[in-house]
Amino acid sequence: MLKKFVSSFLALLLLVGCGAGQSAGTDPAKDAEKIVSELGIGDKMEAVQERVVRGLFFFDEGLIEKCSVYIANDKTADVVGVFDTSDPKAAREKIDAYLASAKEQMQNYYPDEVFKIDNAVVEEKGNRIVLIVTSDIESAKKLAQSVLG
Amino acid sequence: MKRNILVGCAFLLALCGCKGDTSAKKSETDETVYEEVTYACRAVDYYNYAQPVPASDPIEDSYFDDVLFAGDSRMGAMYLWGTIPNAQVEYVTSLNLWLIDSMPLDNHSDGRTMYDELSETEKGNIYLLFGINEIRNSEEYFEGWANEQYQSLITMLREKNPNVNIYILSTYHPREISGLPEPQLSEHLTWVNSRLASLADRNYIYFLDLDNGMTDEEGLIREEYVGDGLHFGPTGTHALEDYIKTHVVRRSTYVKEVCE
Repeated sequence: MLKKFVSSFLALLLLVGCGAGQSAGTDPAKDAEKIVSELGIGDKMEAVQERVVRGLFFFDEGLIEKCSVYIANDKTADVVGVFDTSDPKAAREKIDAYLASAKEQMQNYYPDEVFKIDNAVVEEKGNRIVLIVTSDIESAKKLAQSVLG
Repeated sequence: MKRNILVGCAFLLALCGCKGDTSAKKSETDETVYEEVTYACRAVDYYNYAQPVPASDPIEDSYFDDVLFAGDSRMGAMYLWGTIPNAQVEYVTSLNLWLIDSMPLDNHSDGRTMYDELSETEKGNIYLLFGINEIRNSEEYFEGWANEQYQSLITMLREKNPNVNIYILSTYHPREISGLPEPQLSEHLTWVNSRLASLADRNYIYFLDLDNGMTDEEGLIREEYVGDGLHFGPTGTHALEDYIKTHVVRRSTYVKEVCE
C-alpha cells in the first residue's frame, strides 16, 4: 500500500515537472503582449483571433496548443507570435512558409518592409516558438530569448 | 437561402391569394356539390448558379448607384481609373482575406477596414475580388480560406441583407506574379477559382469568370490591360467595367412564377 502511494506520488511530481520544462510555462498571451509592449509597437499591433492564426499560418488541427499573435494594422510586415505546439518542427515549417509568402507580398507592394522579414526572429525552446518581425531586430532577439527563459 | 426565401414568400402569397377557381360537379343524387380547387403559385429561380454569369445587354448606368466594388489592389484600379462615378469602390492593397478586419482601406485615412465597410453597407449589389495575395499557398490552405473565411463573409452579408446580390469575381490569370512561376501559377489559380465557383454555387450567388472574356489566346489577362502583369491600367479598367456592365443577372429573366 505504502509502495503504491509512494510510486503514485512520484509519478504525480514527474507530471507536474514535465509541463513546466517544455517552455517557460507562462501564458503565450502575456508573453506576446509583453513583447509588443516592450518593442513600443503597441499602437499599430492588433491581436488576431485563433481561427485567423490558423488560417494565416495554415496550422494543422492540433498542431498549436496555445498561441497569441499580433499583426500590424498599418500594412507593415510587423508580426509578434508566441506558439505552444505539439510538434515544433512542423510548426516551424509553417511559420517559415508564412514568412516566405509574406516576403513575396512585401516585395511587390512594400519593398521597404522586406528587410524585417529577412531578419525575422524565430526562436524556439521546448514546445514553444516565438516569432517576431519588426524593425528593431536586436531588441526582438533579446525579448524572444527573455520570454523563452 | 435567398432563393428559398423567395420561393417561400411566393408560396405563402399564393396560398393566401390564389385560391381562385372553384368547379362544380353533379353528384349521383343530382345535388350540386362544390369542390374547391386550390392553385398554388411559387417563384422558381431558373438561374444556374453552378455556371459563370452569362453575357447580357449592358445594364443602365443607374444600376451602379446601388453597387459596391470591394477587393484587393486589383480592385483599386476601379478607384484609380474607373469611369463609373456613382459606384462605390473600396480596396486594400496586399489584402489577405484573413486580415479583412484589421488591414485599413487604402482610400480612407480613418483606419476603417474592408470588414467595417462591408458590414455597414446598404448597397444591394456587391462585387468581391479577393485571392491573389494568398495565391502562393497550398491547395489545403484554400480549403480553409474559401470554406471558412470567405464563407463567413458571405454569411455575414446575407444575414445583414437577405436580398443582397453578391458577385464573386474570379482570380483572373495574371501574366506573371513574383515567386510563382508556371505551371504552379496555373495550378494555384485552379485551386482558388474552383473553390470560388463552388462557393458561389453553394450560396446561390453569382460568379464572374474574368478569364472568359478578358484573356488572350494563351489564357492570360490581355497584355494591354495590365501594366505590370497583374494590375489593370486605364485600358484594362475600362475593359473590366464593360465586362461587368454586360454580365449582370436580371432576376426577372430567371425567376418565374409557376402556378399549379
